Amino acid sequence: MSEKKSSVILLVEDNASDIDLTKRAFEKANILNPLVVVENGEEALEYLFCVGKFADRAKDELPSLVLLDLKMPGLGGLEVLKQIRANPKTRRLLVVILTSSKEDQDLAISYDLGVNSYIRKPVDFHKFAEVIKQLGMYWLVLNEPPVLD
Amino acid sequence: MNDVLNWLGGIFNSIPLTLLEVWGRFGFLVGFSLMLAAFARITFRPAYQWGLGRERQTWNTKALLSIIITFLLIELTGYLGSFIVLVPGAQTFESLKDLSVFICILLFGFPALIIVPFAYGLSDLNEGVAPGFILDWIWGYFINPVCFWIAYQLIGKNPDFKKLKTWKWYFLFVVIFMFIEPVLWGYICSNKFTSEISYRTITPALFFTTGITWIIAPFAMMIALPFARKMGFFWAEIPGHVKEHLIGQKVWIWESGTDKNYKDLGELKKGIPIRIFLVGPFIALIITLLGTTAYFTLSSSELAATKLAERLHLEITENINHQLDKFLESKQVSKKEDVTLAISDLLYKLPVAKNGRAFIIDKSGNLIASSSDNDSDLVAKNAVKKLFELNGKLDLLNNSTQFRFDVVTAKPLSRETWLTQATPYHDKNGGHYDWILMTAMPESYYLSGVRVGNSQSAMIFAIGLILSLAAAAALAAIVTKPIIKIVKVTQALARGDFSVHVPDSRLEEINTLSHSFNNMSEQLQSSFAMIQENEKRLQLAIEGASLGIWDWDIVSNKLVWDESMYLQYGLKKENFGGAYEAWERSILPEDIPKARSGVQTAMDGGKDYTSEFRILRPDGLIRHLKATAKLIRGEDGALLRMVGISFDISEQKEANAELMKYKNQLEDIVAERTAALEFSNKELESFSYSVSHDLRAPLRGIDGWSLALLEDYGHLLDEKANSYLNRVRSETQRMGELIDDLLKLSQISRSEMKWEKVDLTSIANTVIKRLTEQNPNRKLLFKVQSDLVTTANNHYMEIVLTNLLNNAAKFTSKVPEAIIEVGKLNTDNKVIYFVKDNGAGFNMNSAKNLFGAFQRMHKQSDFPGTGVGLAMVQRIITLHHGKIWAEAEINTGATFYFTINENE
Repeated sequence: MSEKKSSVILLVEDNASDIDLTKRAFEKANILNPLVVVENGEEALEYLFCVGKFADRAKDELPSLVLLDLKMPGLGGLEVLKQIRANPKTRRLLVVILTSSKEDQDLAISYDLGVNSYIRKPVDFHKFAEVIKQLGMYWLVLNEPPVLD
Repeated sequence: MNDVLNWLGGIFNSIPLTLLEVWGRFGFLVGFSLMLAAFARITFRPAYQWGLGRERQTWNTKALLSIIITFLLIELTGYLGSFIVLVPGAQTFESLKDLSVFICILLFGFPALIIVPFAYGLSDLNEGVAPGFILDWIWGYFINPVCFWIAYQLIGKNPDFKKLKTWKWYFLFVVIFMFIEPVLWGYICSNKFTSEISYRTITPALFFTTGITWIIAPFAMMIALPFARKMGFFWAEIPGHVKEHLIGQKVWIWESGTDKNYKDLGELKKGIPIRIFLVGPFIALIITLLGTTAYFTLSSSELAATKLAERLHLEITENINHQLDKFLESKQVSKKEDVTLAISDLLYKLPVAKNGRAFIIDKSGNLIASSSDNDSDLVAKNAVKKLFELNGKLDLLNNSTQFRFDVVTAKPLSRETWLTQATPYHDKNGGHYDWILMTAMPESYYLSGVRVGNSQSAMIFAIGLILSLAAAAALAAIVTKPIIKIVKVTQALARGDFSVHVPDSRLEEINTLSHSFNNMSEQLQSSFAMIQENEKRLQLAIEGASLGIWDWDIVSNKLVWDESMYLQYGLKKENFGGAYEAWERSILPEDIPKARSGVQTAMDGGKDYTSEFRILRPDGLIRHLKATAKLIRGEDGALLRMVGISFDISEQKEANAELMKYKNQLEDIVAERTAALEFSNKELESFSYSVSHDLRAPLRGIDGWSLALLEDYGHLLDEKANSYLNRVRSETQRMGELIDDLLKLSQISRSEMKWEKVDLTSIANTVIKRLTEQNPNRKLLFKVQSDLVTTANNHYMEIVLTNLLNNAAKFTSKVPEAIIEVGKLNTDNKVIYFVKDNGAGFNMNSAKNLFGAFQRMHKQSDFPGTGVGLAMVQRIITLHHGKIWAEAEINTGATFYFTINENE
């Protein structure tokens, strides 16, 4: 059974303000893809593997892009990334880290784990909105997505 | 006295003569054998033990003086003794002479022995004994002192008559002496006298004389011995004077003056003593010359006197003939008896009758007339007897003849030689009387003058001999004294006594020798002193270091320790077995295998031995010892001996253990601190992480929602409210920059420092290119020195130059023409890099905290910035072991200097 790619963008983010600002940035950038928000790592994995409270979700559908925050209570973004890449079903999933941190070690580990892109959220919202806009343009329009198994 | 002599004579008279003759011959043979032994210096009691040995006499001054003293003493006592008459007409005090022989031989030994025969002979000659007698008795003169030499053999080494032991040996000697000496003289005399006289008169007389000697001798010795000892002349107490060895062995077993069994390590000294070599031939020559001269002088004077006597006889006979003719012519006496009487009267009146005899016999030997009125006149009897012996029948006697005969009387003992002339007489009146006229004179009569002269000559010869001997001894002493001294000094040197020196000598060659010897001795002394000093130092070092020295002879398994070893092991010498096993017993049982394998390795052909082990001392202490040794191997490579040292390393071991403890403690502390540091580093990291994540998120929220407010409701707010919201946003963004810079600062020093080759020129150019691009409207002039190459961290140097050049560009923004220089200064082997601008500069007085974080020199509105840049630069330079400082002036510019790795 082949996985189907939906137009959903999965945002993994624990900060409510950031969630709303991101949503606003998406709106400003006219990206109309449905945005599914989960507030921690466990939920993100439950969504992706259709378990827990997402058990009833259409199982063969995977998001077209995952925006992953690193620092979250409970399971962190890097661990989520690791599990995504470890599972054959989700290993080619487009994952972009969207975080406040620009720590060298975070960057290194993320790329080692096979992240597709790493973006630091600027404090200036103008710049943030611009980043989101370009992100959407690039990953959803310009980039040829991988074929999912 | 006479009674004693008669009693002794009686005893000898009762012994059969044949037995006495056998005894006499036996005594002579024993005496002769002893003589050979004595003069060959053979001893029967070497080192107080019965055996056959030889003694070696040192011919030193004392030995030569002993000869002279003995000689003089014998002459003196002989002379004195002849005046003391014990038995009138028979015995003088001969004992005195024997006594001096006894004492001299016992006190002086061999030197006295060899002179006695000569001294005795000369003494007898002086007393009037005819030289012929002396020749006849020559063996007697040599054997006689040898009989005294028996006493020398038995008690000579300590003739102390205060000891009972000495008396016992003395009695043995007296018995032996009395058994051989008087009878052997009997044998010797029997050639000259009859056996009857020799054994029955002379022997008892000698028995008597020597008997007196043996009664006096012990007491005389009691006086003489202490005196000789005091003068240092007693032979047995002069060191080195006489040595004894057993025949067939070359080891000295006794030496005079040491009075203990003397072991000479060296070979027996061979060769003639220099003194004897020098003096011997000289003395022999003098003795021979003087002896023969004396003998011939005395003999020839006797001969001359005899010739004179013979001539006298002729004249006397002629005179008698003449008177007899006249008498017979003038007085015709018919009666035969009357004639005889008258002739006797005539003869009696002759001068010759006073000392000699004149008598007439007929051809049958009957006495016709005599100047002596004694009918049994021995002289006439013996003369006639001799005449018959010589001529047989007297009828045939036609010419006058001269001959000698002896008259011997037993009591008193006397022997007189008479010179006689027998002349046939025929009267002129017809030959009525056919007689033989005889005249006789005793030799003593006509030789008396000669004898007196001879005695005087003998005395002069004796004095000459003594003087020659003395001169020879003195000369020899001059030569030998320094040589003997050198020998003694050499022996002293061998014993380690360097204080002795050889005195100067009057003889050139010996003087040179003495000086050279003294020089050598001094050099030897100084080098010996040096060696001793070194040894002492070494000893001190050994003692100071508590080193023990050991020596293991593997072949015989004999282990020898010095004192320090016993101290180390806490053992007493008597408790140590002196073998390998004894050593092993001291080792702590668990260390025995280790100790054994050390020795085994050395034995198996290892290099020098070194081993560490623990010992258990008898006092319960456990000590760590280290032993090292040199290995001594035989030609076949087998280990023969190990000689080494041992030292106590317990304290060292304890100190090491203590040190290890401290080291471990230190390591623990370091690990603890490192862990703490790592922990705080982690904390810092997580803090930075939180800051970068969590501090920025709200800022973004504030900015984001401020913008949302502006965008969505901006039209509802007045202009002032809009500007407030913009202020909120700009402050928020500035806060974001501050956080970013703070994070950058915290990142430095958290990562590891990597040293590499860095091209500062190239980095500067890259930064300049970027700056030029960022400021297209500005006029910037950069001067970068080429080849600014150093060793540093490339990434950090980029940050340094970026910050400094950014600052330079920033602070020159208000200058129409900015000039920015990058270069280096070489001073005092130190390279100083600098970045110089002609910008705003700053006041040096307020530049104290120039490099502090968030310190700013200018208003934000004039020159924006966070104040983190220079703090970061300083932190990087410090990481590079360098220094950074600045020189600036307001409105003129600033120069930042820095060095890298100043430690190099």
